[in-house]
Amino acid sequence: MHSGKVLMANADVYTPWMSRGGDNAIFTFETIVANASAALTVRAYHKDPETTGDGAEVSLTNQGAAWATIGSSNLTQGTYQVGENGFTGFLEWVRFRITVSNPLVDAAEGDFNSNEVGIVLYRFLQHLWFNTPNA
Amino acid sequence: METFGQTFQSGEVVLGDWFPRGGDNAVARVQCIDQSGSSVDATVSFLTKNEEDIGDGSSVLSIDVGGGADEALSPPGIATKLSEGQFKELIRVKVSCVVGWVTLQVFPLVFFDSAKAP
Repeated sequence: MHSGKVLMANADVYTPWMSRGGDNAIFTFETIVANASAALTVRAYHKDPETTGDGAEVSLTNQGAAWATIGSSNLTQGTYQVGENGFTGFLEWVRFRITVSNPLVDAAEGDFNSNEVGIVLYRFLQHLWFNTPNA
Repeated sequence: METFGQTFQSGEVVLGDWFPRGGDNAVARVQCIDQSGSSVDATVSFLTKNEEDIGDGSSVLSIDVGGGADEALSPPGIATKLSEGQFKELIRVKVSCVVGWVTLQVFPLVFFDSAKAP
């Protein structure tokens, strides 16, 4: 068993819903292995249990976080903190949407070129949930 | 050490209890909840040693909260640092406040082991 999961372009997938552990969160995403063609986007979605559907993206009009690289590592973190960038806190259920984008088809030759397919092995580290400490 | 909303005054140097390492690598995060002003000078350090060692351990990771060269936190800022392969068996937190006062939250370390072979 390996740590992490593999995604190939043009994957655009949701992770399962998880219960919110607090109003705020710091998520840590590790790109364990990726080829040069893999362009990754990680977004957070949330909704309440009584709501049907895919949930709402946290990071559009309700800008919660810009994912930032931690030092010179392959880790990036998204910090969602109430009061920053208009973020008002997570709804009860939270999940991620991971997109790996790159052309599956060689634009010049018009056929499938495996050398150009973005592939990524990734994992999330333990999520850090917290509530706003300062009144 | 209880670090939620704990305030440290000028001149205080506080050591937390030892806790076991949870992996070779860790992400450390410290939040500045409140502080006395822009002149505050405090440092959060993570000390480490092996079970068989006596003494206070040695610092392998530190986060400056104001006054430092690498971080200048103001409420509710959060600083993040990564430790790769530096921690020994035991870890504890040390907070040193040199100037002013600061109220800090030291988040639990997020441990992980390397998934990629070198």
